[in-house]
Amino acid sequence: MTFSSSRLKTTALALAASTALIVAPAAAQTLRIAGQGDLGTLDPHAQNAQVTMSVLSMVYETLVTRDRDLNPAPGLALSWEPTSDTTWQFELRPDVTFHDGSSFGAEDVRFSIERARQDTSQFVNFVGTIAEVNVIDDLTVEIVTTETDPLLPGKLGYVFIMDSDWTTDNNATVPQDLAAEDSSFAVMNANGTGPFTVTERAPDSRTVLERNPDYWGEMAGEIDEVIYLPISSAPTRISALLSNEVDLVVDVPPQDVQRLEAAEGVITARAPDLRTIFFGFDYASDVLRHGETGGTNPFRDLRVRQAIDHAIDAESISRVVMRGLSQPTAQLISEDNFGWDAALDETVVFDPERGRELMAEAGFADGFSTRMDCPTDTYTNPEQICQAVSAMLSQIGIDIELNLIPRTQFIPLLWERESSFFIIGFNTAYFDGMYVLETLLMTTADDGEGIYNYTGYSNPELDALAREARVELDVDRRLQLMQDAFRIAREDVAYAPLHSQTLVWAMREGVSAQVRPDNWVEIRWVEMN
Amino acid sequence: MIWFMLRRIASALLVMLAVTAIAFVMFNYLGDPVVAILGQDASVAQRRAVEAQLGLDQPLIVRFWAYLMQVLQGEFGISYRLGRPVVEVLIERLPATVELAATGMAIALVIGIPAGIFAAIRRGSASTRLLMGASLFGISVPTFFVGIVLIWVFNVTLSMLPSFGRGQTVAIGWWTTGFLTQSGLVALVLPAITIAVFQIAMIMRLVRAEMLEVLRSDFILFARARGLSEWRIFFRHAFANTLIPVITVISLQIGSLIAFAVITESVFQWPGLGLLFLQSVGAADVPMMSAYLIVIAALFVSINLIVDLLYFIIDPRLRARVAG
Repeated sequence: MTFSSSRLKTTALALAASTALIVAPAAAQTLRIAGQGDLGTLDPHAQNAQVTMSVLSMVYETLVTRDRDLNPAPGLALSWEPTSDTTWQFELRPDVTFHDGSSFGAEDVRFSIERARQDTSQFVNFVGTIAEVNVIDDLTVEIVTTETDPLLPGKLGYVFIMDSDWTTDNNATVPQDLAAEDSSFAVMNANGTGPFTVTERAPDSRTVLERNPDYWGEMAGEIDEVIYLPISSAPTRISALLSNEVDLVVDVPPQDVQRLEAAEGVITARAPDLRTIFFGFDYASDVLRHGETGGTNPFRDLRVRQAIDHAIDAESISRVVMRGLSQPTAQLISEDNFGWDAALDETVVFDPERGRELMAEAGFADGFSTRMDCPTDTYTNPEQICQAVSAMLSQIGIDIELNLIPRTQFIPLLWERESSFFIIGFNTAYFDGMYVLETLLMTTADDGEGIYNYTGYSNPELDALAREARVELDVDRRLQLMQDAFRIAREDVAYAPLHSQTLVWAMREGVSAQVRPDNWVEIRWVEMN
Repeated sequence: MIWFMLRRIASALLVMLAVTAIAFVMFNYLGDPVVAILGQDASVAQRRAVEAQLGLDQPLIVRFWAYLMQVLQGEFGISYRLGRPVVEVLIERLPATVELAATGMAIALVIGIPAGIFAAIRRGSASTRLLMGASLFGISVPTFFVGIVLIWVFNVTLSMLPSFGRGQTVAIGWWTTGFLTQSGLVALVLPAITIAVFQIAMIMRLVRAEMLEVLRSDFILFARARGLSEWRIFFRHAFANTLIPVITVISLQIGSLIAFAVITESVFQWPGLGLLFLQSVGAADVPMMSAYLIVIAALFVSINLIVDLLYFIIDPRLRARVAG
């Protein structure tokens, strides 16, 4: 009997072994991520787009990274500190190698920052305050800024480090050089220090990454391979998750969230997006460019702007258009940002009656008409939001002619200060509201202040506070200054804020991924079983 | 014959020039490529620099002339969106679309022609009425809807077929084919059916209408009078005489399958020319869109030429006329 029992055991073992064989592909773990669009390039300084940055962050690394609480944490730099008002010193991580085996050092940092400063780089804003980068020794870098910059470490969290030799040898020293035919090497090839190497790149189809066995950092999971799959059609993307063809979907349309939450074997995760949606007005023109306003510019009257603010029912938009996936707000930045002020959000009041009164007080009892410019292919549900807001504004007598256009036509309208009234979504960079104050709210000047101030808004008091805050190294004092500045913008109704978006990811049960507010898939935090 | 060909080629080139010109002008109203290149947060100085680099600050006519000269030298420039040479990308995407269109058309012919003949021969029978009803459905249902329904049934519900992509491909020189791997073939099924649905219905209705037309003509009456078998009348005489219009339409349909695979390709994320075009429009990628249009125009023009040649082979009367 013992014999047969041992035979049974063997059979059981063989069975177990064969089952293991069937599950074998799972042992070599592959994470298949699907998103709406593809990364445009592997060049780390060519395209500041969420999906590009998110995927490239698995391949390339930055000096400073974020921990799970989104605080700055050591990446390729071990530590950093200001050594004077205008210099920061970074101690670099030793024994880090690029994927091709060459070692990482101070020269690579200097080279990469210089590269990110070129005209065709989309990261000029992140290195704009840097005057020079000095290599002290192989593992120490000193960065000199043109003025005190408390945000420098945060900004460098978005500047990927390339290998200077590899990039130079392959003629790729200029990012996205559309004039030179042979400069596309870094577009299709990558050599970073990150946990994954690129093994296959088929634009609009798939990008395959393989685990870098020499990676210095810690990984939460045991993922051996990552495949990023762009699937532009939303129903197909969701079907692919339901049928187990992908493991993680990062661009989940709001209308599908409920269904996915109910679906078996699928879980969702969410986080507030760094992006806030708001409406902007033309302050600069004496007569509004678009619309019938009786030869005036009604938006210059604070009461008109207040009326609009009262007329917009952000709660209804959140419920009906966004299906609960937005947080109505009175601010221009969302809550994970430095400078956010819980008290400000209490100033949202939906009161169309009061709006009508304010319109009458401003001399527009009969209302006026204007054009609202609205991009259709960026942000979440912009078209429906604009339609809803048009209807709400008609309640206080503002007749909106909707101009629904693609993003590539919309942005130039802003650049040329052509728009009278527009919706805009603005991402804060580096989890800090300073960027919004500096570029969106400050009076436009030649030195980069107010470069995205497309409305012509100007308040010297706000400018002074922002100037003080941006060179303030003391954290508490800086917070106070920024909150004061944002309060002024709120009182002026510089913009009419609507909501901050909610990011939703859907994943197969067994996958655990934390949503980062900038929509990056932080691969080091992802677990699978 | 040669003179005839030369004249056709000259007029074809003229057509392509016109297409290029119209496309180039049109694309300049689609949007500003600088947005795609630099993103929303670009400073004025950066924008001016890129505009100067790409010559976007020049008047439209100057840019068109420069572009035309480039194209004549075989240079299509660099894609603004992908940062790679346009020709390289087009060559990379062509096989996916051609294989999809060819498979779709093969399915359409294999089903559509017999169904059309059947519907003509068995006029008024119940099964013909069913077929005609189904074909009406096939013609009027939008492609994206067919695609989504197929995905829902065969992918989500039955877990039988993949919903996106091309599966594993094998490279044969510069051509990549999905015909040689199992995953490639499996991935082809849903998109090919989606793209074929309209074609099946159209070919069936066309063959039926042409057959009925021919069956009414005198020579069929004579054939019957001669006591030929029904089978011989239908296939040797009637069907052969429907071939000219059927081949013309089918050839042009191959062109439009390739040109307008846009919807099917975007539903199934099929990495072909249609998807490429759609993505390029979104990014105002002018060099890519212009090159795509030139390629498609060239395709239609050459299909037309081939069809003209086929006429010579099929129709003896044409040969006689040119010879005489």
